[in-house]
Amino acid sequence: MLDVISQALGLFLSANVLWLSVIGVLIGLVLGVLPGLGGLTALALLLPFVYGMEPMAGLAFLLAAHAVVYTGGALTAIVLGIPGSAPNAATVIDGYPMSRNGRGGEALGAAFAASGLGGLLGMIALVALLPFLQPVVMHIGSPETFLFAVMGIIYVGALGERSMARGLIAGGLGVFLALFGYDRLAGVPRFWLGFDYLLDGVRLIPLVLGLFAIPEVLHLALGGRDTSVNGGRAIGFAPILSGMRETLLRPYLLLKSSLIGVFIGIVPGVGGDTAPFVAYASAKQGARDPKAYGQGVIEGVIAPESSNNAKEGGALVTTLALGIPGSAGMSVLIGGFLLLGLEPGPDFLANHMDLAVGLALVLAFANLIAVAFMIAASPLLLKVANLRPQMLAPVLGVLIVLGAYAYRNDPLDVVATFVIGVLGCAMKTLGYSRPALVLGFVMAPLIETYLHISLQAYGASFLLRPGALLLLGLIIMGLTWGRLQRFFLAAAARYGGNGDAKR
Amino acid sequence: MRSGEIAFLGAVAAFLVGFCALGLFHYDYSLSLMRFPLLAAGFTLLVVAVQLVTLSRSACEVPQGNQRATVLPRGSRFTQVAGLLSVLPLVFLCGFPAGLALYLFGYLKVAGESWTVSLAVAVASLLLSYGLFIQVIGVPLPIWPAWWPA
Repeated sequence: MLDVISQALGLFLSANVLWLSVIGVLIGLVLGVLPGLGGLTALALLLPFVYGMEPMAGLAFLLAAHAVVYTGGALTAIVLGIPGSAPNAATVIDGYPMSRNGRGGEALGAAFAASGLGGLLGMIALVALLPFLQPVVMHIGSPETFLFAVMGIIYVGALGERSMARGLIAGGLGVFLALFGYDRLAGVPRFWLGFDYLLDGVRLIPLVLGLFAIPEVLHLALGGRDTSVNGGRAIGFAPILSGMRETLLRPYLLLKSSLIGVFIGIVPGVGGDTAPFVAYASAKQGARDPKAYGQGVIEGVIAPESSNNAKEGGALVTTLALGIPGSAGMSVLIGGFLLLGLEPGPDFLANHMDLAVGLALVLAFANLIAVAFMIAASPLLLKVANLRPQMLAPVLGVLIVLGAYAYRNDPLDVVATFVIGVLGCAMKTLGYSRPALVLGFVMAPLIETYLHISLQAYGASFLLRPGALLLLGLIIMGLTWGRLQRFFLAAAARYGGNGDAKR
Repeated sequence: MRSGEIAFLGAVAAFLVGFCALGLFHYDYSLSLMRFPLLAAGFTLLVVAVQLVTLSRSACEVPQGNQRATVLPRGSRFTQVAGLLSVLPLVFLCGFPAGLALYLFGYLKVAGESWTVSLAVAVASLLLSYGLFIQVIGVPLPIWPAWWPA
């Protein structure tokens, strides 16, 4: 393991990786403070630019930007009462009242310290868990890899959204869209309609930009963000430092909330918006005066912010080790892996442990420098947050066009981005899971290849291997989770309270 | 919203069935080549059918997606969407650097920004596309219009 850590340090400490991480952090923070543009949009906008980079540098750039989006989002959540991204919504509950009571600087200090330390704890959990997973994944064969990939789509589709059917339809559509172009096994072009562009199939960058960035830009252009916010009060350094000190004085809360974040991050498809609310509820439940929550208590800021950043470490565990994204953002990050010629999953951990630990170091580095940037640049970033959305929309539109073209220097990619944007807008409006579609898309070649290998090697009986049976059980559990949840809730309601069953 | 979702599901079903039929009957793909597409399409169509049944049973559907925008400071929703999409014809008609700058300038002016801000953003876009992308990074963005003789 010491060898791996020294190799990872070598990868991480190269100038290219460090400065790309810093740029990624800056971009992530700016996108974080812009309400409505979350980590997914940040990844979608940055994905085209990693094409052709060294794997470590490209992944560091993406991960650094994605990891700190929520740190930036805390600023607007506390000062303006507008969450920069969905997971920051839990921070508004106590952060905004603190700001209105004149304790905004303190709340910001607490949020920044909790975010930084939460991210650090997430990294420690990641590094601690990876060595235990490595020997396990060495025993995973093609049938299990196939089922892991299927499980990833089902979990992201079924558990991540309010409606399981919508998530599964999106995942299935993503798989089907990936089947256009040359088949990897037979070398025959599928569904290309005599159109040369489709020989390479639907391309990942136009798909991601169209699904995530176009709907957000349209939302901004249509005035979907409240424009009546004001710049907020001036923020001094002394209250920020005081808030940071208050956070350090609550190590148990910080640790508990971070561990909640790590655990929820590990569960495929559940992460994202859930972790900060669970951490907040847990902090409130364990508080001496739960009624004070919502009125502006500092614990109500520390709990969601630490879990927010810690969950990325947890989400990376399953992403790297099994190829199953722990959060929606990780679905797009898997696309980044593929663009850089890497395939996350059992083989990745076996062959690229140094890269995995290097990414953990990037995660910690990004979280810590994000805190320093936020302390120094909060007043400036607040001005960015106050830009009129109608002004922001065309600027982001230009970035989309440049990003779509820069991927393969093909103008048709720009057109494809806007065409897929129509699908993205429809899915966003109707509540269909876009991360599930992207995950289906990036996993489809893997699923098809390993299904083929499994059938060739074992026939249909590959499903009867012990590992495969276990995974099938987990898939069935994922598919029936809604019903199981209702059953347990009903049982709890019937037998809860004083222990008497309701008739 | 409910009729919109039914139309969306119909489009998804037509897309899947259409391409599978094309593969089987028009391109005559072998069954081994079509095995996985049929599996993926079959599973998705099954869930589409379940969702359609669920929708037909539910009396009123609560929108699951993000709420639509309600604030429109100037112009109609159609104008805003058309304005946003005007980037496509502009980059093909004027070349990428000039088209993007023109797009930003025009969009911001129509959105009510001042001449100074609109011009400044347009110049910044030129610096980004021509200066950074073409000169520094070396991305061969088309400088000339698509209709310009090569």
